[in-house]
Amino acid sequence: MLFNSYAFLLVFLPAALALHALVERFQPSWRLPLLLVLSILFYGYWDWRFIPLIILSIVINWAIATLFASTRRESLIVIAITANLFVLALFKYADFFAGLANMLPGVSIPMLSLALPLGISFFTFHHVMYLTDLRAGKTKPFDLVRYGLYIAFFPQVLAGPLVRWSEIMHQFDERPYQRSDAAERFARGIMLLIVGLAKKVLIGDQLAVNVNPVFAAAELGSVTVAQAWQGTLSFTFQIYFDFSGYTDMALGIALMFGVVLPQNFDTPYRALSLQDFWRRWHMTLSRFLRDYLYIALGGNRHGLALQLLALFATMTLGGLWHGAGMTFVAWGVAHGVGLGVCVLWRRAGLSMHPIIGWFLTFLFVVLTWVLFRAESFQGALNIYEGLLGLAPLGSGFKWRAIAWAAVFAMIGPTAWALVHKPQPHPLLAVALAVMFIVLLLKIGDSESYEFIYFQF
Amino acid sequence: MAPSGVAGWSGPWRRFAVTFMATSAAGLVGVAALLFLIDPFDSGRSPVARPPGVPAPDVETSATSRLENASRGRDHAFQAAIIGNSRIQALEPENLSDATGIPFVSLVIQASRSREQLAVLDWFIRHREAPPKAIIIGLDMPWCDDRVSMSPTDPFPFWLYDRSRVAYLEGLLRYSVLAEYVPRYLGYLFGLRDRARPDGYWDYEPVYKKLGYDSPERRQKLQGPDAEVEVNLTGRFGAAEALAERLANLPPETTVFLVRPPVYVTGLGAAGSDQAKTDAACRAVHAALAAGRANTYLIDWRVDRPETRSPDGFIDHTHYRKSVARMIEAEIAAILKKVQAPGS
Repeated sequence: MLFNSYAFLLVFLPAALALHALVERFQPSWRLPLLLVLSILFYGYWDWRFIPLIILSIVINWAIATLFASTRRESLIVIAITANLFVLALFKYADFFAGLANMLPGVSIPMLSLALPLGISFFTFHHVMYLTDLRAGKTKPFDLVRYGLYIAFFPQVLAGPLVRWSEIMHQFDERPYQRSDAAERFARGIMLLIVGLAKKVLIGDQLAVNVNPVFAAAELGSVTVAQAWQGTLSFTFQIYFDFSGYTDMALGIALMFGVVLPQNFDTPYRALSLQDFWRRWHMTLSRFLRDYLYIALGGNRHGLALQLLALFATMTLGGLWHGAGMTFVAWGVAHGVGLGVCVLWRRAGLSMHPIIGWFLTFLFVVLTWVLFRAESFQGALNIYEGLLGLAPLGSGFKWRAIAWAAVFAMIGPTAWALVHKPQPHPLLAVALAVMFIVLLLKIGDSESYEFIYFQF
Repeated sequence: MAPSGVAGWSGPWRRFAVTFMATSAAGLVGVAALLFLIDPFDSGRSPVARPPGVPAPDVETSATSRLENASRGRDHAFQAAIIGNSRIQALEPENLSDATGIPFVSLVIQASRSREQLAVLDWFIRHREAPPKAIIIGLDMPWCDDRVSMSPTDPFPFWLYDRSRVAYLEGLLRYSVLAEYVPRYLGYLFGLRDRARPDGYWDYEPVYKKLGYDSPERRQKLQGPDAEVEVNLTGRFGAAEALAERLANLPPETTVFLVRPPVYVTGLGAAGSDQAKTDAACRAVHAALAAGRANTYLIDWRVDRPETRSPDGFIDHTHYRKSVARMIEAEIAAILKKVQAPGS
């Protein structure tokens, strides 16, 4: 179930909120089990066949953690983490690796074509974070319901943010509606949900119209300079408004259930360096990669050469995590190299004017998004040719939507900051409600028709 | 709704949250009720009665009939319908009506396949007070599919023709309906806009003319093979099976014409080709459809005959001109008159 669907906004969310409020008030001990059941239902709505997968994933990891707590056998954790990554690899990368292997002469590995369970990339990392910290003695075993909720809590299960156990476990034990700021939190959650939905529907989805035809055309042949810049700049803002809007909705929904999730975006296109960009973009993933991969690979404590290598490997794997394709790997490689150059620049004691820093960072990020979005290297190459002016100039550059999006992304406050400003004025509540209805109607338009072939 | 009287659930923020939820709920119900009552596509679901009809589109395109046919299909002024896509579009309801005395409506959906056409057929049958006198169905190649299929490129508003009110309401709740179609419809109701042609006929010849289909190069193309070939060698004919179910449930007094529309002779496929094999197997299935129900006639123009060898009768391989359409109409009218004659 997606946040921007009628099923979620008009049925699941109101029903879940009503049940949750009743239980919180009259039977608080049922609150967590209820949230877990709701989360499993939410997850299984897309395809019920994935329900056993997520339940098994929770139960097995929880059982191993419990077993480790009593036996302290570290091999258990190693096996569990390996198994989690193997399951992720099986579902997400089996065909990718098979395709690579099949390039070798004489190799012919069949494709599995498994359906990708939604959110598996996210909940696999949740398991890894917890198990790693358990082994390091930083955390303790939790009961099955709490652990299940840490993995499957529905506002974050599909697309993050990646939450650490330490950020959320203590919140599960609260009586959120008993807090003195309960109503304020709930109301700010509503605002965040609406702002996130607006970002996605009014900006992200509108930009998609400027993006998709260009990248589709690039797969077939060359595109004009105007098309290439329009598609690339539009995608730069589309992915930001789409993803950060989704995250805002996740944070807002969680707030309504009395849980504060970690921030994930902080005006990333204002970054003055590439390192700064990764501190502002998909922050929970960056932190995960830093703490559980980069540092594990040696980080910056074993000399410059190893640091550069660790950085490169981390970003390459980070690229692969985004999708099973060589273009994603190339995107990760580019960022790994870029961050390495930044390290060398700083080591050399060189400085840079902030405006130049911002410009170079933004340009680098924009150019690398092409690899992220293109379906093939040939498609990316065709876009790059357009961007560099090695194609006909063309015309009809659609700049308005890009300009608006740029203004909001660069100047505007983050959604989190924005919704924490206003006072509780009833007129604002009415305005938000009107906005909500308009957004719902807009969602209806974007899902106007079904395209799926029906099989009787 | 959060319970009151609990710490934290009080004061201006609680009022704020409650105001938002109440306004959202009331506003949404209000908008849905308004749209339902206005019924901007004249689907007949609103309790507020009004004469049938929808506003004429600013420009007639292949997208407009999709929304208009909900109104036409339930218009009791008509007792017979033409169902299909652009390959049966050239048949003029008016000519058929004049020849038979039965008022015909064209419920053609351009670029549609079996799934869209079945939805329109069901809709038409569901909205009859008396058994329809005749139904013409254009059985072009999509009706040879191994399963019921729909156009992969041209979306269709299935919600508008759905039996479920929930599906209909969900489809109605759109920004474009509120901002675009409601004002148009109200403009039509108040006499500011013309009514869309009631019988649904839309002449495609001027459109093709504008696209340059009269040029010598285009005519030359007719001599080559048809670029759009559909092949089904599975031995399964799911689309025809679904139609057979519908035919079995029709009132016996309804005369059904299964028309296999003409194609220019070069579009029939070379003997022994997969296309020709598909065509032969499918022809047998369609003939069995007609044989399987009384008062059902197969009108097969998908054959090599003098008229399908004349380039003057065709725009492209599967779209024919008025001269050919008149002949098909005449054939249908002759049978209908015979069926309707007392003592037949």
